[in-house]
Amino acid sequence: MSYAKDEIVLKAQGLKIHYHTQKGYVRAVDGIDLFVRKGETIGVVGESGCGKSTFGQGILKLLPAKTKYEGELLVGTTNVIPLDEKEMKKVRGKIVGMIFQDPMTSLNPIVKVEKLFHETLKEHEPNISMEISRERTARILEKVGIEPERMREYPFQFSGGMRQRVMIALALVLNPDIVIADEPTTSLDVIVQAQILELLDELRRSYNTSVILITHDLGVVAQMADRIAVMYAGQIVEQNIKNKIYYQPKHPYTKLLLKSIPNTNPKDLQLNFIPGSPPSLLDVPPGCRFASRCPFKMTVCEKEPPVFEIDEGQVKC
Amino acid sequence: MVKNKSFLSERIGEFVRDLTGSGTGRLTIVGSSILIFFIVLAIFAPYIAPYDPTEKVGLSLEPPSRQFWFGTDNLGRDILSRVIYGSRIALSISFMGVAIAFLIGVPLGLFSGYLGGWVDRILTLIMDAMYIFPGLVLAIAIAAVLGPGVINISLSIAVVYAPTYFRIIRNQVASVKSELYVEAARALGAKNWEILLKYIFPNVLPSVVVVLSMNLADALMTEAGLSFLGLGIAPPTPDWGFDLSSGQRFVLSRAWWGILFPGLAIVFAALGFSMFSEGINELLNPTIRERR
Amino acid sequence: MSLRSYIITRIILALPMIFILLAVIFFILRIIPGDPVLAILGGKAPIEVIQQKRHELGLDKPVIVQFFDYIRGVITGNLGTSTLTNRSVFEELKDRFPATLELTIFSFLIVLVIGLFWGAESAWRKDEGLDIVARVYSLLLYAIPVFWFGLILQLIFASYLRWLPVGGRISAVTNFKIVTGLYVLDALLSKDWRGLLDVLRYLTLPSITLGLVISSVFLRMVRNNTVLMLSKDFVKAARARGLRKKIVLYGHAVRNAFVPIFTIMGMEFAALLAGAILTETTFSWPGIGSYLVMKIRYRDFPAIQGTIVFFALFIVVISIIIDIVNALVDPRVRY
Ligand SMILES: Nc1ncnc2c1ncn2[C@@H]1O[C@H](COP(=O)(O)OP(=O)(O)O)[C@@H](O)[C@H]1O
Ligand SMILES: [Mg+2]
Repeated sequence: MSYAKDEIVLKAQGLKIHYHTQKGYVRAVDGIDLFVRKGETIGVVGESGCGKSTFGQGILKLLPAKTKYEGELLVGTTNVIPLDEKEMKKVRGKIVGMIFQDPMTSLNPIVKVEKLFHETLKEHEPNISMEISRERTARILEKVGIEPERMREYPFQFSGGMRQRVMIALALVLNPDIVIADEPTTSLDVIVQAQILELLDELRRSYNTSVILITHDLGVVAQMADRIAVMYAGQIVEQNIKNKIYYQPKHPYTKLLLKSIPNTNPKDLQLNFIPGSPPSLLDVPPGCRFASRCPFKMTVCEKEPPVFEIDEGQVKC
Repeated sequence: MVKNKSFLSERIGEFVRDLTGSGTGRLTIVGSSILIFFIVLAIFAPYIAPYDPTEKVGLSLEPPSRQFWFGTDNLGRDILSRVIYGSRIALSISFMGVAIAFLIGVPLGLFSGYLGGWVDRILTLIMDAMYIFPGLVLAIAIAAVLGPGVINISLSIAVVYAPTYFRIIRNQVASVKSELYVEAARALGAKNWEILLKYIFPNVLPSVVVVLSMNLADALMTEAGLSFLGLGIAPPTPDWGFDLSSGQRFVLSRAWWGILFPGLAIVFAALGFSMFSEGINELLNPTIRERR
Repeated sequence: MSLRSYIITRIILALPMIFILLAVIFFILRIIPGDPVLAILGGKAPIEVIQQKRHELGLDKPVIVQFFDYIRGVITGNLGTSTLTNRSVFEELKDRFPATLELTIFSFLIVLVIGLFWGAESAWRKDEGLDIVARVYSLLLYAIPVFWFGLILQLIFASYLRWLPVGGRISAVTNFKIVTGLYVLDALLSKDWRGLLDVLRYLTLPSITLGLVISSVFLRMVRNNTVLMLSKDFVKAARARGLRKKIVLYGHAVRNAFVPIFTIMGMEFAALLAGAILTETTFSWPGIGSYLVMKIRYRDFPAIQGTIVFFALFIVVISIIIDIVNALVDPRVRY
């Protein structure tokens, strides 16, 4: 590719993540090729259940112990697939930070905010003193718009939006290269959503952090992503820079997805859902996974679709 | 303060289920088999037991042999026969204790919940106070005043468990009271006692039956504890707990048989009751587990 | 609310509870059929003797007067006079209490260590070897009467192996200065290491007996609640920050697992006390449990009533302490 001068901070190649269940392997992520450049935001979108969270958490290998990882996943220059728990701990938080969907449940309500920061800092910088860790906590809290004095409080004393700010600060306090934000605004109300996204974007710029923004909401990626990867049934069906995805979508699924965005025009209450449902990831049919719902289905669709390079992106159709 | 008390048997039952991962069916069958085994022992003790449990039939403290399978105690009595006869006291006191607790707790709970008001509040306070008190201490106090005897021990045990019935019934009545069919019955001019007996009681019965079965193991253990402390049945009646306390005197003589066998009887009976009640629980109240 | 005002509120709220408990004890011991005087003297005592005894025990006054005498007594620390020794029941209990306290503290430590660590580790490696052993352990120890378990341990360790004494609390030859009545502490204070070893040897079997039996329930509670907490988002988030297992498990999952456990901790403590009565009797441990049993043998009713009251007060105090610890662990209860 032609971006050699840009530093690539994450690169997945043929990444597969399969959950172990009693009924067999759930192929939640089934062959993903994706790279992330330093300082950019890449949006990962798709219907719920298509494997976005699996991909996000799989990067840090946070999934159940029996989960099977295959392919290559470079974080910086190290392939994390063969790493064990102990080695992964150095990646988690330090190189890749993570923001979860529901700030009400992803912060332990009964552990003081300053303690959450201190234990995190201490884990990666064992000699850090309480004073220094308080100082750094204060600085980052200020950056996310929380009065530093509130570090003495407990998460349960914060509102949802404020908690998500704490969560963001916690993900950024070690200044990681990449932040994975898994539906960071889904559980918040609309005004707070916009504020949080703005904050995230601002912080990305000032720290030059890359962001992997996972969401089912195309409106969210529209606001902040540089590039977008569209996921369907464990695979990326199309990826490109934002404007190309929005104005020149190639894959039929992307087109339908774009049509299903609720119109802001209040008279147009009709939502366009995509009829049908994605295939079971436990037992994936051969050929194009979208074929059964695709309005442009052809006989070639029964074979595994090839990946086309178009403009600056790829389409798998 | 303290809000929740779960039964010994309930816990044991869950333990077994967790452990074996077996369905309720098998649990119930094993539990009831043990239960039936002990009931048969109790009823047919005179035919099953090889000797008279209160007579000296051998030397003192004879170890287990072909003649005396479980050995003899210090008075030369056959321990096997005493263990077999001991199931009589154990079972009758457990059943009676629970029955009396039921007869005290249920009517009080029905009236308290139905009437409401200050009667309800005072009764609830009293029952709550008894509820948080360690059961054995309460039973000891009452048994101490009443003195030994099957009825007296059953009563002491009943007082411990009556508050449980009271609480369950009271709370259910209070919630059922406002339901439509009860309102309707009242509107049709049904008398208070009629409403209680015809409409409310049948509704709260299943949960009571579950508790009833659960109480059995607890009552059994409490009885064993009381008689171990010398508060049970007057000697020489065979009683597992009491026999253990006499067996204790010969710990240093290494007369292990006087300790092992009566204790095993208690453990098996408690296990049987518990598994049985866990099964009943599941059968009658499939939702009870989720609620916990 | 500050912690201090929480504690004060909690204590004030306990007062009506204490009153009701005292009333319940009084009326249960009065209302139930059976006459303590007849029980003391036997059925054939002449009427004058019975009357005399009634007067001595204050049983000839109206019940309500008796009740207030009794309440006043409890408040002023007067639990009556033993008919057996003519000593103040309160004094006798005070002498005996340290033994019970020492036994319950050590048992509780055993319960805590087993329940906490085994429970937490079992939850972390759910359904693996350690966890399965934990389940068998819980089941077996829960169906076993505490006194029988004690007897079996006596047989093995005192009778056959002769490693430990069969009962009692201290050897006749050991003597250090008794200050607190907690022998382990007293031995430490007087730096009497042989004495310390001696009292620890006596303490081992009773506290293991009681501790293991009670730990079975606690272990299961900790394990199940921790399993639940380990599935929560904040645990995954803690792992995503690179925190080590120790902090994820104990600093987050177990910490939160204790919130529901605290609500039934009072009941567990009551079970511990009830178990202590049986354990003390099994091991001739000179605490208030064996005191109660002895007084019952001699039908010493003032002492029996006093002991029961003492148990009640002890339980209320413990439940207050549990609530305070709960408020420390879970700050939400203070707000
Ligand atoms: N722990 C798990 N075990 C088995 N299957 C899982 C597990 N977690 C998620 N899945 C399945 O993997 C698929 C992808 O889930 P997920 O990554 O959460 O999707 P998304 O975040 O896009 O909504 C879903 O079909 C889901 O049912
Ligand atoms: Mg998701």
